[in-house]
Amino acid sequence: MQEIKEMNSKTIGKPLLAEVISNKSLADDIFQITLNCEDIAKKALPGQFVSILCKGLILRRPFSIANVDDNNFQVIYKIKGKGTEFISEIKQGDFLNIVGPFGNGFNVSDKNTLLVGAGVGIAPVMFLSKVLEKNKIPFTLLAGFQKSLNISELPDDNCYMVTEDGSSDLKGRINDYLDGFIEKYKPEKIYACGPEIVLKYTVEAAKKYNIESEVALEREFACGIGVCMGCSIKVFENNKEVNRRICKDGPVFNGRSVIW
Amino acid sequence: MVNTITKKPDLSVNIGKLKLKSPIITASGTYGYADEYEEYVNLQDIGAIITKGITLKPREGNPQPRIKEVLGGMINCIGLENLGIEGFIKHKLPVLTEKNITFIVNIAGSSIKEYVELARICADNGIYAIELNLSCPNVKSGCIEFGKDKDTLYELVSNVRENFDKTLIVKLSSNVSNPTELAVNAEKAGVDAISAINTVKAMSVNAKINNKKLNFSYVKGGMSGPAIKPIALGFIHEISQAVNIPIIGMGGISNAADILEFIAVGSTAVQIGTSNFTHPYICQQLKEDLEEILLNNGVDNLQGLINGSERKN
Repeated sequence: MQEIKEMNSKTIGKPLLAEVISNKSLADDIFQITLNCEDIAKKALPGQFVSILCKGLILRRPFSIANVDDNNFQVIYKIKGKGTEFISEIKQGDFLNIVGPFGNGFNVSDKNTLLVGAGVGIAPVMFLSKVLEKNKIPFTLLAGFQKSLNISELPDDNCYMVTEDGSSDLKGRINDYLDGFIEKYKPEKIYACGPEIVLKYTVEAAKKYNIESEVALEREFACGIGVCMGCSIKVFENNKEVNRRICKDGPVFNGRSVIW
Repeated sequence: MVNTITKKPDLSVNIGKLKLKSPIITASGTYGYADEYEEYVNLQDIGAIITKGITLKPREGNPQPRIKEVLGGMINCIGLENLGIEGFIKHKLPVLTEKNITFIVNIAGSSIKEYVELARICADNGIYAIELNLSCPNVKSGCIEFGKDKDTLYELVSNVRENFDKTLIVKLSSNVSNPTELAVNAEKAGVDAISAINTVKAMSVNAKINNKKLNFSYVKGGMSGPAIKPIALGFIHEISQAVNIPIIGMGGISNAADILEFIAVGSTAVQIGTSNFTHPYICQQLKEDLEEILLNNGVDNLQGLINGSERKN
């Protein structure tokens, strides 16, 4: 243990090692892993991500931080390929080699907020909901999944789940509920993460009601620290089209600035 | 009292007029402009940092997707997205200088004239080492175009040499039919060293049958990572028999044993590329691991080991 603590006290020349506290399935292929790593837990902000080394693979896999509790942090992931398969097989007491937290998180404001999270995109908005709760900032969370999930860390109040199979209170897709939620809860700020189509609809809805929005984006990259240029996208800044890296300049962007 | 303090082995090597503290150099396009890695390594411990490929004008690069992992490596088709030489000199050069980082500027042009102009700008701004990118597979014009034909390569390098009297390195691709002719002409044209290999032309395909038809998506670009190491070793061994100038070997290096393999086939120094993406701290670790291997084997300086390796000279 002493050795691990020493490793984590200094990142120069060394990876961070995080101990697995639990790793459980939330639904068929969606998992939630809780990891112990003081260095990451203390620094992490909602919207930031960590990159996990997966055995047998060349590139790390990036994941949004879903929650932080003391020296632990959580990640919610869906099995999509070899990397997430590897993580799903990790057991309590094992260690994962992690770097991060990376990127810029959401800009937290004290405005009445609507949080939108679809699929594993729930992760960063759930983390943000915790921060809003702590700071007594009013919010409503709209979460969308294929079928209902039991995530105990989701807020008890003001949290609504939309499922495609109708196994929760609201049936359908997030897009069907956006206008209704905006009209009912009158948010002044919207934060969203999820598949691009959900983000596009969310930004459109925000524009329609003249509300500020922030979205967390995703693209394949190699490094996570802004050097490989793999995740470069075009955004509008000061009426000019410019290249920005999702990993370093994002992953959170002003919704209006994104060129889809 | 027994003296337990053991002297660290001397890792220093010379590349042209450049004295490097260590043979570990970071490959262009994998280290940004160095300061991105400050949190993970002592930048001053690294032999040299090679910048992202820099062009005369800023470049936006290729459309997405630009990265694809494949078995044992990755394919990239970034397309030299960079801030241009003016941007580099204004925003990045002062940082490198201020932090006392040894650096080499990688330059890429779409004509001989552009390479010469870039070299001249570098010389005017006190840049003491450049690496000519004659091997990037991901741009429509330039780079590899000049690195395939021995006469074109000779013309380009000689022209640059006339305008740049500091350390000049040429980076070659393995996607050629005449490695030794190219290496020999680079030497004749006056380069101080050859770095090789750049990424290997490759393609990743995802094919699916849809309504009885075969559809596919793909990423085409340059492959890097451990899977290309044997290609790199073969290429370096071949050219090392034909030239006397130092070779900076690269291609899939991920540990200190790999470094020894590259030195064994004729490299004086090495570049670390894809591994930096996976392990941002790796250059620090490699230096320490290399020191340990030498120490454990009673080697007190790396140059001695290099001199004894399989080179013509």
